Amino acid sequence: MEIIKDKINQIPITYVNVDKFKSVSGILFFKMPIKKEMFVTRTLIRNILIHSCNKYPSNRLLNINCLENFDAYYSSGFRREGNYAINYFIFRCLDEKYSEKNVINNVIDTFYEIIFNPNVVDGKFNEEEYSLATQRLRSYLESEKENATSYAENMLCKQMGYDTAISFKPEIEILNKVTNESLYKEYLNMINNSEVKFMVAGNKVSDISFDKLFLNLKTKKYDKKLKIQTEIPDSFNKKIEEYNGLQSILTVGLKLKDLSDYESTYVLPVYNNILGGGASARLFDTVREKNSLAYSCFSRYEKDDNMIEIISGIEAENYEKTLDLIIKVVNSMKRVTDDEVKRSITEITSSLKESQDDLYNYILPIYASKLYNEKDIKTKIKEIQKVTKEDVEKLFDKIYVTDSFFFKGGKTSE
Amino acid sequence: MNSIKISKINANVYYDTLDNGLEVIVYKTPGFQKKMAFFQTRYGSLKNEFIPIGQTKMKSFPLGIAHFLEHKLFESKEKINYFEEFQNKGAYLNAATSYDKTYYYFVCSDNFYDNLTKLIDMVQTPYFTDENVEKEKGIIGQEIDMYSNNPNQTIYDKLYYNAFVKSPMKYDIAGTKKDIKKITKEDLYECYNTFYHPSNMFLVVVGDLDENEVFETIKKNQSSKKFEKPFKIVCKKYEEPSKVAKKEEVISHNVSATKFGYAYKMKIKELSDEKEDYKRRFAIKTFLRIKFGCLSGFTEDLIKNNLVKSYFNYSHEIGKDFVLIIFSSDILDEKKVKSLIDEKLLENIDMKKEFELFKKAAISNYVKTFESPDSICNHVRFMYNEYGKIIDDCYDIYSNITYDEFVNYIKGLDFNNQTKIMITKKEEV
Repeated sequence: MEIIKDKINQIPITYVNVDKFKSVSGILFFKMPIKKEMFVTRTLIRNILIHSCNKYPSNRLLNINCLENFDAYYSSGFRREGNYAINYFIFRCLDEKYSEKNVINNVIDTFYEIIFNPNVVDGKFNEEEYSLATQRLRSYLESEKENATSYAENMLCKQMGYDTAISFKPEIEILNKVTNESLYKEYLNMINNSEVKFMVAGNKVSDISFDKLFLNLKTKKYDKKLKIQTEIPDSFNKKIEEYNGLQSILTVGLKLKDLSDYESTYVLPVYNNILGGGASARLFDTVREKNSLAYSCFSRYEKDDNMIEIISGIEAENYEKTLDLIIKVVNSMKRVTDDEVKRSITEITSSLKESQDDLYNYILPIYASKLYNEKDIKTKIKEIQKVTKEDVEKLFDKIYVTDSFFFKGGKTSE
Repeated sequence: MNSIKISKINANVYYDTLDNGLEVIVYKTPGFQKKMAFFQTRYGSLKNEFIPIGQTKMKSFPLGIAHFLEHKLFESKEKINYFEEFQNKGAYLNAATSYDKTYYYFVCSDNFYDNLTKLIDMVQTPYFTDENVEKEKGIIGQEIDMYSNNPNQTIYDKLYYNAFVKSPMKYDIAGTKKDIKKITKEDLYECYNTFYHPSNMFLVVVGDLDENEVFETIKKNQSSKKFEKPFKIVCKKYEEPSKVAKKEEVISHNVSATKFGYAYKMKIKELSDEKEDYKRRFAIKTFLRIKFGCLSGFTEDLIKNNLVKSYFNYSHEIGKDFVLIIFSSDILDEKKVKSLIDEKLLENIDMKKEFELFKKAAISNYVKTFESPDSICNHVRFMYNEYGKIIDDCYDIYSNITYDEFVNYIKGLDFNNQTKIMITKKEEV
């Protein structure tokens, strides 16, 4: 593997020459400080852009082009990382060794058209595409309680985030205020005012010209802090909402305070792995194996948000018992064993190594490591192997169980 | 040990059958970190009535027992926590059950041979007690609730239930809470002893490994254990009629808007030639992609004309002798949408251009299968479960299939046997 770094128009480009895959994949990122309404506008933008463009003004025509180029694949996404909003666009196509000459150039052309030449008339997106995207988003928002787990997680974040970006989520009220004109302006804002990066991986990708993508593109720099620190409340904040579903979802939120960069990068993954990272973690063992209360109980950390979420699906009548058990498990983290630390480090090391077998991971973690100012995978493995039992136990005083959100279902099935 | 070269991919698959009947397949992935082993039995939720080993009469077992058994093979007399044991060696351990298979697997980057031996030993050392069987009922009960809680999953479950008359395809893989309450440790041992004999199983290994060492490790492990002689398992055969069990049903669920689902059930002739079967699967999938997929504009037109609210999904289940096509959507005008689906299915148009495009896509997707250890493993498992061998020239099959062949495969499909489900909003709490 060879990594080559370059710049075009000040835009950082990373080429990862890796020859074990049969595809080539690239990703273009647009990053800027987040605003609440972006959860709606940026989601609409990504859906409209990927559905058609000026050159291929219907989804059918765009898809014909994809299929002609051996099922070239384009996707787009929006996500929040701490205080920043990130829109990204991905292409993936077969290496020409397995397809035909010029496939990659054709794919770069279509990728360019999708992002920079949208289906726009008179300063607005094509009306049909706009209404299709808004209708779909509206319907998704109206049915958000159908996915009980995701809804409960969102509500927990809303509860824990106060007025920070953690509490932001797409809302119908915001969607109602969006117009086609305002959405197009937001698209131009994304293109013209973002910090831009491009990563590409595959066989000899540094020999391919991607210049077209950067012809009229510029990048900006933002110095807003990435991480979000919210207040630790004086008392435990419990909320219950009832709904018509079968299963009840219990989510518990933990806040992290004053973790050093070393702790949040290397110690926190080990802590989380012991607490609720998998089937040998304490939460799984206590809630599922010893008490048969749930099919799964796991925890997930968001280091840029300084928080950990615990999620479990249970019967409504077991709410108090499960909540008590979860809190007891979190409190038991004051002491961990050498075996647990060793086991977690081994598992994390293994998954870091294995992540090199997915082409996407060659472009995504490199971006992440840039974003977080971290090291490459080999250095990460070395650092994580240095984490000690004492390091993990020290986190205990920096982690607070602050919130729970219980999405209470009705009767369970027979 | 035998080997077969996969056409156009520049890779060999090594395979052999051990004395006890266990088939072992090794696919080498030079340069990749991931190493994995999948230990699979040709036993899933469909085999619920059979003659248990050592007996002479057909016996019926509670629904969901194959899945229950999968959960219980993680127990041992020595109270080993297998998840911890594998994690200690940097491996991720898991298992899954479907209609026609149950598999146990690990993925790791180091300590492969330790993990391999441990996986085989775990699966081949069952330990069921009244106590550990009871304990699992609460856990699986929550797993059942987790799936039932999702209205989209409920559409699928109900459509299967109402489409099939006799086939156990109609039942949920995990069974219901009522079914699993009946399961005993004796039931589990009978199912285990019948279906987990090595001659009903195969082991797929993928990784940057030496094939000789893999075979030697497995042979050594198996030669130290005693098994019954390979035997033929007799399972009940179901004469599934063409008609559906129930034509329509209305249920209430946690939905924000009414949803509909339709299933079209059709019988197809069982093909003895595996390449023909493989081609027919491709033809049926391609037919549906052409009619309802990204080139059709079908979904966009429905939304644009206010006939559905926001989505229209289609999917399919293709077996050796049946096809089930499923549609689901948040429909606003049910009659109109239903007639449009029927028209689309029966519409007789030239699909040559689209067919050629999807052929290209199939070639591309087939090649891409071989750039990921996970998808290689899935491909090999599918081949062995369905055909008992690898078809080595899929690339050529996709390249050479003609439009006329495609038309021939789909012309006999009969779309007359249908069932409908409507899911309405439950009253507010």
